[in-house]
Amino acid sequence: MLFKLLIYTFISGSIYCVIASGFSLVFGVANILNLAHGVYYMMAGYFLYTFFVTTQSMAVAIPLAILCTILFGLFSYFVICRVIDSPFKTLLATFAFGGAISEIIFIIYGVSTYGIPNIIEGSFLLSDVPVVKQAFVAALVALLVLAAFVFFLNKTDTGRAMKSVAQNVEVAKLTGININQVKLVTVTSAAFLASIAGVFYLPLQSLHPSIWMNITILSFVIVVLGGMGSLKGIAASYIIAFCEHATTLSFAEGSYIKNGVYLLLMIIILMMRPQGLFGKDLGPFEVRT
Amino acid sequence: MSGKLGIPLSQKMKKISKRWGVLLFLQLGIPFVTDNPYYYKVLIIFYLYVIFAMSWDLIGGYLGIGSFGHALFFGLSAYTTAILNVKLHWPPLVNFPLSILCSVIIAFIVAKPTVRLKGHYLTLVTFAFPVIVTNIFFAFPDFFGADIGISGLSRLSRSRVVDFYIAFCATWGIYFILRGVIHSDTGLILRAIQSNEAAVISCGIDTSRIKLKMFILSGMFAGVAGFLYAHVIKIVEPSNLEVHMSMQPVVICILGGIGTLTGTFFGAMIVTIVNESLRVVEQYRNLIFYLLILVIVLFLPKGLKWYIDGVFHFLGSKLRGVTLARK
Repeated sequence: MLFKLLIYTFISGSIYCVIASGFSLVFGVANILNLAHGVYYMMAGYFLYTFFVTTQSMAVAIPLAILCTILFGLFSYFVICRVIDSPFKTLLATFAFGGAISEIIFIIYGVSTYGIPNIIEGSFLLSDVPVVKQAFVAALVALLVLAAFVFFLNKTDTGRAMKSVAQNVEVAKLTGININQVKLVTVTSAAFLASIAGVFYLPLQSLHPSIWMNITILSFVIVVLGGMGSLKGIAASYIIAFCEHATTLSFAEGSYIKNGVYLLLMIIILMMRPQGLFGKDLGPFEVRT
Repeated sequence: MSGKLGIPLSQKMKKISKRWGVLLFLQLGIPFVTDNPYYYKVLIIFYLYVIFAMSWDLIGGYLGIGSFGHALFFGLSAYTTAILNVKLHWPPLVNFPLSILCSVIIAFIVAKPTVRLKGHYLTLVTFAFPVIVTNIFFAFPDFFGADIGISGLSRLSRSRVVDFYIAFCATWGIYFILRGVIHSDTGLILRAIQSNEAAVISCGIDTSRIKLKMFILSGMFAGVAGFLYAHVIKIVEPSNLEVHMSMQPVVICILGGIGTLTGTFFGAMIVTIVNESLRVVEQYRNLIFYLLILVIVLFLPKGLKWYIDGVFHFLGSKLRGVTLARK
């Protein structure tokens, strides 16, 4: 039972890691809490579905879906980066953007859920715990992409520019960094990271226009728990995954209340330790306790 | 409308605002004009939206606590009265204090951690509470009715004319109470907190306490709206406390201008008209609603009413051949 829980936690946690890292990055660099973040994940799934239906080939559909999601992220930058004057308006605009996109999806595809075929069929036993191959591969790909992204962030000029903007915008401007360009790259890479998770993990789940909300809630809980703006804090996604699977496996109603459980956890953490579990100092983010 | 610290309006603009108010009082005569149940329903819903939006405006507009979960108080009050009414057959009059009490308690629970936070965190916490409550509702489908909700509530009163007058009186009663609060010393403190909280604390005022009080007051009025809504619509659904419902007062307030009580009447009018006229294109209703939010936030940050009043003001000054400096 415990081993099963750990395996599931590893798989979901890795996926949540890659989703939440984009969310955290956009918040850190552009200071935008993007409530439309879940839409990237959802859009990746719908693009994949559409391209798979038209081309009947996963090898073509996956790169196309990722590319389209990146383009979508580019488009979203122009909507959500317009308002940065007040946190409330930013949240409102990003939420409305997400809602509008999900409504458009709803009009085009209807409310019915779609299943995307798996890339790799079948499952294997990991000491008598059945693991779906696709889920395992998705988790590995997610971790790989995340590692590559951290490398990009630390070793390339663009990545370092992103980090410097997150640390101090004024100083970054003084050193000649084009802030808007950096923000554009950030939002686009957030879309890319979410699309990786969507393309590999969504085939295991049902696709319908309201999934974006859960993903957004999940991302912000992870980011609050781990500490806003710290990339290390993304590890909190394993805690969330653990909570989620523990509630689902122990109660019959678990799947209904799992969101509630981790939101409650978030509220408690915010009250006890507003900088998050892994965050050291508050940095530029203003929280009064 | 134009407080000491609010956006200053010229005398002309004040007059225009008063004219909107007179127009609203004309609605008292509606029972003598028409007997169509549809109009009554729409009007009552309009008034409930106004109450709901005013309660949001108290904390969202004047205090700067932009809540994303205000439907929680609205929906919980509606659920309380629905359960008592349908399961125990208690009359609405008995349920009224109980459902308001329920809203007040939940407002206290929500406010306790919320008032200490700022910015994004604050909005996220208010956003989280309704999701938790909705999840609990879904976990016990027998008691809360899950997706379908609870239907078959009794009517508020015997005739719809009386219903209409109850909603009308409740709205204007709450309007004058809130107006009293905002024009009192407390109101001054509220606006001061929004502009500079540190300065208010340095004056020796316990801001957390005032925020808590205002939150509870706001939750109470949202509860009044929810209670009336439950008995007018006669069905209570989980959608009553979901985020889409929480967005309604926000949209109303940003349409009418955040931080103006009279603006809520204007905003609610637009939202009700949009909601009702889009019934023919039910599918596109939510999409248009979200696009409306986007357009207002991105392009009309001061609220639609501000621009419309400005146009009236401009026309008025043109007609007289004088150009008044618009502040």
